[in-house]
Amino acid sequence: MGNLESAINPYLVVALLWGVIIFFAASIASLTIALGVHKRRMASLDLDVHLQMAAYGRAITLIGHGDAVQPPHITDFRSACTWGAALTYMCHENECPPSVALLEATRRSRAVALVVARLSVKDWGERFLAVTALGDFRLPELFDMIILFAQTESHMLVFGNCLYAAAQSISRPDDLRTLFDLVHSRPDISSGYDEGMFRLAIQALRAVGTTPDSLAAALRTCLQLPGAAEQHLLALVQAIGKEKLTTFKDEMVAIVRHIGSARLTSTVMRAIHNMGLSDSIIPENIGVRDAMLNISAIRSAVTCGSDLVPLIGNELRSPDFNVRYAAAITLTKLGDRGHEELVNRRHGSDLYARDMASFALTVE
Amino acid sequence: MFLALLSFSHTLLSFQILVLLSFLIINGTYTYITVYAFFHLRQSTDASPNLEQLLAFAKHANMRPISIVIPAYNEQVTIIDTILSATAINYPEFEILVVNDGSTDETLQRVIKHFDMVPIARPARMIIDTTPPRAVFVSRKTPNLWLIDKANGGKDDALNVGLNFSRYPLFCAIDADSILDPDALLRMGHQFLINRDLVAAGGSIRVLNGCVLEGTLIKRIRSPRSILANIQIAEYLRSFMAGRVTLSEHDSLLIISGAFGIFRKDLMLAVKGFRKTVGEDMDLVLRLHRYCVDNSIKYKVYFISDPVCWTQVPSDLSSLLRQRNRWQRGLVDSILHNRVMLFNPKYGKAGMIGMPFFLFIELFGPIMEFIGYISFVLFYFFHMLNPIFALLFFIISILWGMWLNAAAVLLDNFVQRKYERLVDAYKIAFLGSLEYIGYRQMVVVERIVSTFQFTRSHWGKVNRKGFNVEGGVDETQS
Repeated sequence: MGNLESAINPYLVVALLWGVIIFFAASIASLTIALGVHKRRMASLDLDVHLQMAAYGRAITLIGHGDAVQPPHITDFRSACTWGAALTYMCHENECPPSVALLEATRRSRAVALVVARLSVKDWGERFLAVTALGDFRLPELFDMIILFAQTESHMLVFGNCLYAAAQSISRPDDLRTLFDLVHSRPDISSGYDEGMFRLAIQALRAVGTTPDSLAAALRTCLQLPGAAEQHLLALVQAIGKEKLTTFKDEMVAIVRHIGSARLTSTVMRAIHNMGLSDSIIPENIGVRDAMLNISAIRSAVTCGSDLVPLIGNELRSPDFNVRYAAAITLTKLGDRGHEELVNRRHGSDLYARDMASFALTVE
Repeated sequence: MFLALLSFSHTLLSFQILVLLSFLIINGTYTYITVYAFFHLRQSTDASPNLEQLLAFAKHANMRPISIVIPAYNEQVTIIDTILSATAINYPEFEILVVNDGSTDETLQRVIKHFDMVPIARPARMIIDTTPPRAVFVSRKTPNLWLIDKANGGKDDALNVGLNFSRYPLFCAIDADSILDPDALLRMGHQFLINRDLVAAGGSIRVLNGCVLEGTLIKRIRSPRSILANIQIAEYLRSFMAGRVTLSEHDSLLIISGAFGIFRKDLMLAVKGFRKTVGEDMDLVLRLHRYCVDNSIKYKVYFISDPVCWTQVPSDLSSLLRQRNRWQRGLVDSILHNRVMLFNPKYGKAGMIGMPFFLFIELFGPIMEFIGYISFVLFYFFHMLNPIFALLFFIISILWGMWLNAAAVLLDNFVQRKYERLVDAYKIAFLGSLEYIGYRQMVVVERIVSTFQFTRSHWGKVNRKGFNVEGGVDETQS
């Protein structure tokens, strides 16, 4: 009848089916064994890494105290990565970069050579680890190599990690411009990430004793770069604000006034706010028609003192909800005068202002 | 007579070939997916930023703030733990919006009492039409925790209320019976931080049953005792560690689980939020694909394997079947609603790979499997079945399924090694294989039935237990 196995050779079908069964049975058995072997291997590797981290931790302490001259014993890629991780852990714990002795110990070990060899492998996971380790070493001489490698790296995560590594290895103010150019080469990377990398780079430069003047000079060249994408400029301005480079404030405002971009102006106002300073650019932008600019100015006005309270109070009547909300929240942060303004507005004639003032007073 | 018999014989032969081919295509596709995921995960496992790096990003970079929305309907048993786990999240800036969707139990009262919540006049722009909120509360203990009370309108409606009230540029939806890993948002946020084209991302969903909790932290990850739960763990591993990884790598990810996903809020508002359907999670992702392509927006939708959300799976058969019924209805409705994408090159791989996969493998797969079972029975009664052939075929189908299970557990072991004990991994792999003895057939029948009920928007009750059942708390609800 119309059975499949009768349409072909029945013996062949049965033999084939048995073949498939044997294949699957063997395959399942190997997967099961592989699962056990892999689990045991990973458990042993985890233990090794744990022990190695502890050993490297002790070595770092000894080298840091000047009690050891021997470079760490690094024999393979994984132990080089572990050394890097131990260095970073130590930096985070002590909130300071590795000492000269530690950098020298890393140089004298095989760590760099072992890691650099992995930059050219096809496996992007390995490249990611290698770049992480290079960043962890924080060796200034690796900065150029990381930049060169990043320029040819196509994988987004690895590229992002290159920025991280470069930001940690930076030692010359001029390299800030190189980092900015590298960021600029990738329009798909988010400005939030850039900002973090610029902040790490500024911190690294400060840690190696870069003077505010030379830092300002480097930042100036970045902000005045012709044709620079706005998103990266925004990230840099944010980083300047959060790192509180207060000496650069006036210059930053002058540059932004010259460029005249609303988004950049808005970001500069937030940066000034982050620095805890005030500037005439803030009241100038309260009440402007551009809502984004207006909101930024209102929010940044917290650091300008209570003289701006009436100006901000007027914005409670804005037809734009976000403007009203920003004004209300800012007034809650402006002390007694802000509170007084909210109370007055709550009993005022404007419906918008009344509602928003009531809300702010409830939150307060 | 002879010609009729010959024609019948040919039809039967064609039918057998069709069933066999569909079996080969469906299992072959899953095998490809598993093998691909294996090679992909081998690389990407190493490439996850370590915690030190993530913390450095969180401290220095401008990580986008997230609004976490937890829709809750009759979740009195788990809601407090879910909120506590959300408040313990490691992330620079976030708010938690719990939306009580007209619960008839004590969900609202318990949240208000536990978190010391007070009413507040928080205004919101009702950009999306929803059931009007009745009251908004803010916690005096946890200032970034909000509770919105509203009349019952369904999960989609509750999520849309959360969307209207949310303040931050990223929107995260988690289920009220789920627990987030403390670093889950940090890992997810890192992806949004580095890739500006990312519009939506989903994380791994893992099964909480059997795990031992200390507070809201998972102390020991264990496989549960119940065979049903173990089968579901194997299913989740196959679905997340293999399926979603591969679909994501092929730019064809069409579903982000409603239990844990993060979306760009501006785009969610642009597509008018969640649509009224039981498959609101898949439908949203499909509409995001459509919106981005139609408006020439460069975009990416990713599955990220290491951020983990732990969820309870149904521990009784009736709840499980209701859940699968709902999933299938959601699948059918989402595909029908977004059918314009199917085989439409305009939508790229999402239309050419993702949609056909979900239509032919996920939607029609159970139907073909059901036809296979029926045909076996029919052929047997008409004496058209060679018992040896049938037996061997049956053994192959079971072995192939076992292979897929074992491979998924191995994959998981490569990626996260969550199950520390080998015995748990083996237990999941082998108990998971028991799905072929009854479980799978029941689910297939339920899915076939639900395929024809796709217009129903009924959610279905799920029996829940407290999270730390093995630790003592055991409260069942419907």
